[in-house]
Amino acid sequence: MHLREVLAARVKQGLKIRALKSPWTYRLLRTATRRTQFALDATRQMALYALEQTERAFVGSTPVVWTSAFFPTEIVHALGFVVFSPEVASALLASLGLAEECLNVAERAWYGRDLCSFHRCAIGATLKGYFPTPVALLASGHLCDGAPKAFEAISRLTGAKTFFLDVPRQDSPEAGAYVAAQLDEIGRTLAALAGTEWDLARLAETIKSSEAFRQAALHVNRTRMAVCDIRGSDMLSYVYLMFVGQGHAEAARVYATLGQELAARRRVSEDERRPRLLWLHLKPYYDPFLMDYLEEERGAAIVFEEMNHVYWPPLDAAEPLRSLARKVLAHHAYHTTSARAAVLAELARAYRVDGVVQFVHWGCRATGGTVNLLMKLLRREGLPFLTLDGDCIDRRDYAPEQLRTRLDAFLELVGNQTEVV
Amino acid sequence: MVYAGIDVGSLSAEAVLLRNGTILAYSILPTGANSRGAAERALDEALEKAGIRQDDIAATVATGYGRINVPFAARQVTEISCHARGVTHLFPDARTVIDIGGQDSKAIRVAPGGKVLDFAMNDKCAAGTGRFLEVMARALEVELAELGNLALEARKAAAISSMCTVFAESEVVSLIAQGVPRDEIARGLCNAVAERIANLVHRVGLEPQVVMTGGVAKNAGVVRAIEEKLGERLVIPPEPQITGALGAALLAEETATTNSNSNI
Repeated sequence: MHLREVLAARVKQGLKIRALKSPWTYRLLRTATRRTQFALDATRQMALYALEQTERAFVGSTPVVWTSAFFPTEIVHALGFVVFSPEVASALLASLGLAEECLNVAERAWYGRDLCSFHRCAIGATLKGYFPTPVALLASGHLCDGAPKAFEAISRLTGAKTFFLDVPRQDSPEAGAYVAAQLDEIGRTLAALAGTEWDLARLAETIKSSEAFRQAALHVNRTRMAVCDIRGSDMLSYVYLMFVGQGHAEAARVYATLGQELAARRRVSEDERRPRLLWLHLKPYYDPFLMDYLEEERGAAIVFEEMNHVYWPPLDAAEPLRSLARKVLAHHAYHTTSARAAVLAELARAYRVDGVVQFVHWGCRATGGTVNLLMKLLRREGLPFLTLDGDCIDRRDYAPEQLRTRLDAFLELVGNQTEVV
Repeated sequence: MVYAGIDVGSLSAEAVLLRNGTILAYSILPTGANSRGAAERALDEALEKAGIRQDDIAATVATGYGRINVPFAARQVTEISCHARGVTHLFPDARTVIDIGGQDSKAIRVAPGGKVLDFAMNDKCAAGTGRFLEVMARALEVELAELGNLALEARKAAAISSMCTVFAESEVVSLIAQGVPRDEIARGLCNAVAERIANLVHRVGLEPQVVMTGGVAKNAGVVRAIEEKLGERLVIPPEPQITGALGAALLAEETATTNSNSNI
C-alpha cells in the first residue's frame, strides 16, 4: 500500500485524533515510508523527518509552536521545540482528500470563501482538533498578509499566544536591528513560556545548521541548472523543508542527500527540445493533474520553482539574530514587483527557461495583485508568461479542462509541438 | 488532398473539409452528451455534403474541449491556436480575435499569419459565454436567436449587476416582475457580456482589425454592445462558428505539407 493511502486510511478511520496521538500510527507510517518507492531517496528522508516531527508534535510533551510561512523557524528549533506549519498541514490534508471537511467546518463558523484556503482549512482543522496543541503562534505578514489575522483567529480557538513579526518595507541597518530585536524578544518569551532558558549559544548552533541547509540548497539549485530528469512537482514538495526545516540539522542532511542524488542524474543534452518552464507560487494539492500533465503528457520540463530559490545571504553564527533579520528582509518578493521580476529574469536566464507559469492561488492577494506588473516586466525580458487561476486547497471551483486548454495553448505559444496522446 | 478540422465544443461540434485552402464542405451539430459521437457525426455530415469518403482525407486535426476524444485525429491543437489560424486565413489583417463559445470566452492577439501572441480566457465561471445568454433567453422567454435583435430595439439598457448565471437569472425575473421592458433587459444582458469581453480584450491589448467568432457572434445585440465598449467595429466571418474547425483543417494541411517536405 502506498504511503499516502496508509496515511489517508489511518486518518479517515473515524479515530482521527486518537490515530494522530498513537505511536503505532507513526510506527506503521515509518514502515510504509521505508517500503514506498520514491523518485529520490532524499524525499524518503524528508518523509521520515516529517513523520518524526509530527510524532513529536502529537505524542509526548515537547512544546509545539505554529509558524506562518517565511517566519524564521530557527528561533523555534533553537529552543528544541517542534515547528508546526498549519499551511503545510493544510496542503497535506488537501492531498489526502480531507481538506473539504475542514473548509466546511470553517465556513460554518463564518470564515468565508474569500479567505485564503490554506488558512481557512487550518482554522477548520483547528476546530476539528486535527492539529497539535500549540504553546504559541508565530506569524509574519511580510509576504502573506492573511497569516497574522488567521493566526489571531486560531489564537482565540487554541488559547495560545500569538507573536507578530513586524517587517519594515525598506531594508536598512535600522530595519535589521528592529527585526532582530523582535526575534530576540520572541525567543525570550517563548523560553519563559516553556520554563527554559533563551540560550544565544544554542541559537548560534542552530544558525550553523541553517547555513548548512542554505549551502546544500544552493548546491541543489546549481545542480538543477544542468539536470533534466527531475520533476518540478517532486521538487516543489521540498517547500516543506523551506517552511519548517531551516535551523534543523536533519533538514540540512536531507538537502545534502538531494544534492548528491541530483548530481548523479542525467544531464541536459544539447539537442534537448523540451520547453523549459519556471513555476511561480504553489500548486493544487488535491489533484496532481496540473504539473503531471505538463511534465508527463506534454513533455515540458519545470526546471525551477520560485519557492525553492535561495534568496537570502549567508548566515553568520557570530551574529545569529542579525543574520535571521537579514534573511527575513532579503526576500526578493517583499519589496517591489520590479525587484522580484529582476530576480525571476535572472533565474530564467540561469535555468534557460522558455516560459513562466504563475499559479495564482485565489485567496492570495499578494500574488493576484502583482500579476499584471510582473507579466509586463517579464514579457519585456522576452519571457512568455501564463497565469493560471486556481486554488491550492479548495477543489470546489476546480476546472481541470479549463486549465488543460490554457496549458496547451501556452505550450503552443512557446513553440512546443509535442502532441497530446 | 483533403484535410479535415473538427472542433468539439461544449455546445456544438463543427467539421470543415479543406482542399487547397478552400472549404469543400462544413457541418455544425449539437455536441450532446457524447463528444466523440458528435465529432464522428459532424465529420460524416461534412463528408456527405462534399460527396467524398473518409479515406479521401489525408489528415485531421481536432480542437475544442472535446479534442482529446477524437480518435481519428492525427493531432490535437487548442481552439486558441485554431481560431487564430482560421481567422487570419479569412481576414489576413486581423490582429485581435474574440471568440465566445458555449462555456468560455477568449480574446486572442495574433500576428500576421495567425501565430498567437497572447490570449486571455474567462475564469471561474460561465459568465460572458453562450451558456449565460442561453439561460437568460430562457428567463426572458425568447428564442436565443431573437435575444440580440430584441436588444437592438431597446432605447436604453436595464442595469444587470450580477454576472453569476444563477443570480443574473433571478435578477432578470425580478426586472420582468417590476415591469421593465424585455428589450431593455435584453440590452442590459448584452452590455454585461460585452463588458466582460472588453476586459479580456484589453488584457491582451486591443489592436484592429478585430474579428469575432463563435456562436455568440451571430447575436447582433452582443456584437453591437462589444463594438460600443471597444469603440471598434467587429468583423464577423460569414459562418463564425466554423473558424476553429477551419483553423484545425489548415493546421492539418500545414503539418502534412511540412512532414512530406521533411521526408523528401
